[in-house]
Amino acid sequence: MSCNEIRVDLPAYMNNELSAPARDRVEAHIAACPACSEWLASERVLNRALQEQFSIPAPSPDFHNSVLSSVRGAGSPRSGWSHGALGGAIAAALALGIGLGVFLQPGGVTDSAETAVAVSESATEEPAIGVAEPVEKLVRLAFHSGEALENVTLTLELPPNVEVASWPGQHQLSWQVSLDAGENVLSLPLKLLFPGTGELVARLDTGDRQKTFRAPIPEYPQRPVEDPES
Amino acid sequence: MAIFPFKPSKSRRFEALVQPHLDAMYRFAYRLAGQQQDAEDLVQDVVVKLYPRLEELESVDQLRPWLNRVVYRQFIDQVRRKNRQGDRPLTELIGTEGQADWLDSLESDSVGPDLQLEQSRLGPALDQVMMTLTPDQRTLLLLHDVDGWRQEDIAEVLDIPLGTVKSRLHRCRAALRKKLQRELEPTEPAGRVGK
Repeated sequence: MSCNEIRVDLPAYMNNELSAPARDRVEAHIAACPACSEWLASERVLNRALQEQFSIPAPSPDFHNSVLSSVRGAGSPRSGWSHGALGGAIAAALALGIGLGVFLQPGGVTDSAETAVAVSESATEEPAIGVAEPVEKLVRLAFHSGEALENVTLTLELPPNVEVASWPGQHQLSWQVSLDAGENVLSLPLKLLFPGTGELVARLDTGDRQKTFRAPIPEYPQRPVEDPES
Repeated sequence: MAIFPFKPSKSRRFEALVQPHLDAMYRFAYRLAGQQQDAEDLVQDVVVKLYPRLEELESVDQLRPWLNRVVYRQFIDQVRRKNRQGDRPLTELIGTEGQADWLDSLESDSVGPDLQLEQSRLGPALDQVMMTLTPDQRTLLLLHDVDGWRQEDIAEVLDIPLGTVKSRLHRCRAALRKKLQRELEPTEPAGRVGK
């Protein structure tokens, strides 16, 4: 290869982007050609000078936020899961069914026309008698929306004896959702930790409209009474 | 376990896709616009423009070059709208020449003279000389030599042949070296004519 051809390849060579054969060709030429070797040395000096003098200043500290806020719409919704606390386990038994209906009508959240669609599935594990063992139950909550809604904050609050299987120890969970027009179903694998009373609270917040819904959590079934004769 | 059948909100999906690339978009925008605020504004314009096209973004395999292409096109549109003199887009200036054609027409001295470069003397001269290059020449040089873009990436984002990038880059460096040499040469004292 001629000196000209080699020198055309030098920028890519210095940027480590040549294929192995092309790199070998350049290096073989450089090793045998003092003029190109000197040329390469001065190219490296030039590169270092460019890098020193033409670095890019960091963007503004709130660059990401300000750019993305333009697509977030009004308000600053919470992100991700928020955490509550509590925990514990005592006793045993099972069975859970929850019905919760939410209707979001065009033009506003209304208190009317609420309907429950939801019910529990079978238990995934049987509790051992006399042992406080959590029971997993799949519960579906149905939300009906009269229109598609973006950036709805959905918050669930659970009593101390109930948690979501994937988030142990957390009794308040919050996240951003989109609601399609019509029915939207939330499948919740709940873990019933011990008998207790309480209710599941669901809050929907569209930014300018809020709505809270409550549904009782069924009693934790008592364990069978042992036959003293047995 | 996926427990939530709702789709994340549109803005969340958009953020998850775009946010990892914002800094890279800013750096590219800075190379094009040359100013921090202009670069941030350019990225913001692109983000706002792309938000309604979320589904299209979600189908893109290599998002970063795709996003940078949009940044580039947005920049070109802005330049055209502002009708700024001398800020011709890279693609117009580079044209469609191929590497082989260019190598055939390369003059023997067009690779530039040998240049004894001392880094300590380069600083002020380099600033001055870089300003004599056209904006597109500067951008090309800086993308490759400072920001480490591969020539393939430049070709993809600017939508020009790889050979064109390669030859153009070499020409820019040769021009830079030639101008630097002139700048760094000692000047003849005035009034000395002959011996």
